[in-house]
Amino acid sequence: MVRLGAVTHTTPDTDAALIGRSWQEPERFAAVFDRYYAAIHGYVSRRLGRSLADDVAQETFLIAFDRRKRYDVARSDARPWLYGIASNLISRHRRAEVRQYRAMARAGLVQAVDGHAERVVGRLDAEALRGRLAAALAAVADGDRDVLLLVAWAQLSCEEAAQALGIPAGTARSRLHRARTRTRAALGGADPRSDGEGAER
Amino acid sequence: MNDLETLHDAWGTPEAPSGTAHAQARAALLARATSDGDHGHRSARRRLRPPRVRVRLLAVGASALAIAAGVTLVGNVGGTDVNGRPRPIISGLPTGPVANAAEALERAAVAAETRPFTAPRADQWIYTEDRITWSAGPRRRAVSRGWRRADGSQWASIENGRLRIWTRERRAPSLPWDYTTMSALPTDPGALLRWAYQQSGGPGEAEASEVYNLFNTILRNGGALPPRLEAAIFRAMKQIPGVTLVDGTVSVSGRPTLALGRVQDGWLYEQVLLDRQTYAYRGERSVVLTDHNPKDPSLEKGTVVLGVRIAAAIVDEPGQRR
Repeated sequence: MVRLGAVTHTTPDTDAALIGRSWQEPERFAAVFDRYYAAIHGYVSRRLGRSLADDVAQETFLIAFDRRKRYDVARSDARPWLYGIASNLISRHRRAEVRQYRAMARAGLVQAVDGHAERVVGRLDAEALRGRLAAALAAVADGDRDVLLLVAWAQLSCEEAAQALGIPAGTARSRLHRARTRTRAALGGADPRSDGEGAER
Repeated sequence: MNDLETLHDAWGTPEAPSGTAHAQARAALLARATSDGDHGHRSARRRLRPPRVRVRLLAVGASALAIAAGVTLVGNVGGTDVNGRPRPIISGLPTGPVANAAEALERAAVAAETRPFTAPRADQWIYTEDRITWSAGPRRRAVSRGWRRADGSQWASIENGRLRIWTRERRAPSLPWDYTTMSALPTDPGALLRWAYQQSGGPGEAEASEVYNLFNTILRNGGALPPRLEAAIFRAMKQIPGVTLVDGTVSVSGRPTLALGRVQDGWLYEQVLLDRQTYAYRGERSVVLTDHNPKDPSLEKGTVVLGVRIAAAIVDEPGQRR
């Protein structure tokens, strides 16, 4: 029987095509892993640290594999889906996440205070900056942080972040806005609406 | 640079995952993909009765045993098992046809509760063998064999004809995967359902779908489930909205089987199969109700994926089948 699967080899597989085929050829899912493991790991690593990232990234793909039949193949890009699964797993480690941001905030503070000014100034600034942002991240509401970081770190659009988290786009936009108000404040900036950058991404 | 970029750059480029983590994650995925010896919301696999009932299996217990018992019963109601021993008749089970999914699930719960069971030791392995068939697509038939250590620390599968053992170095995953984790689940149906709803919430998915899949997964993984847990799963399933009984019976390996399940996301009818006489869990079936992906024949309307558990047993070593 001639199957379309043979035909689609002429073009690079979209994520959706790979996932669709993996229903019957489960091994194909490895290609999805190969595409996104490093990215997912990196994202989780930023949020939870490397050691938890090993676990969570692995689990993300196992869960994705298990749910592959329910993937909406109309969506050719699997990233929102994968980041959504990862976000859900990350949410089970909220405390660890927040603890990490607080630690960074303290480290940033220490650097800023006793920092050897002679040391690479840029680096010092970066650490202090990161400390301030980490403090903001620790303070942001969980749901707001999910959107913010999917946009800033995973580089999803706000729309994709909404998709990933299974929330309406409008909700994602307002969450992002709230979170950005915090980070801006941490950076000493103004409300995101005030400088015309609020609409990007 | 706006605040989002600042936020992005302030953390720098994340370090690449270690080679070990990468290899382990990939191996875990492949192990699941090739053997499906893990858990999963996979359309094909689950527990079933061994065609030849294993003495050891019966002796050791496990819900696998329950299945074995159930299966034998079907072919030999009120008679003897393959070992010549008299079989208990499942008491408390009405004999007439069931009217709906809730009734079928209740009978399955009663049947589960009345099965003898001996828990596996932590160092024992639960072997499952499943036959999977597809009604369309390039792959039509597969048999998967997998072993999971009761304590969840290792699993094994056959790859290219060779037994491979995988070690889970870190803590157990978030979903119930092994006997130890599963046996710690609530056995009160209400509490179990609450737990399941807490676990669910896959992004963008209705909670009920997730909960249904989660129970499906546990049944599938449970080559050896404590009877009270199995009963609680069936009773909790009754409370999930949208679970319906499929009209008529399905023939699984020539034996009449009931199917009940839930239409997920409006297109995929995910069903649990129960023996029509013993109400033992026999496997799973997925039916594609509407064309979902024009480019993928596996998602064509009418495609059926059937997973039948051929064997389930508690064994001492991976690679052993009985």
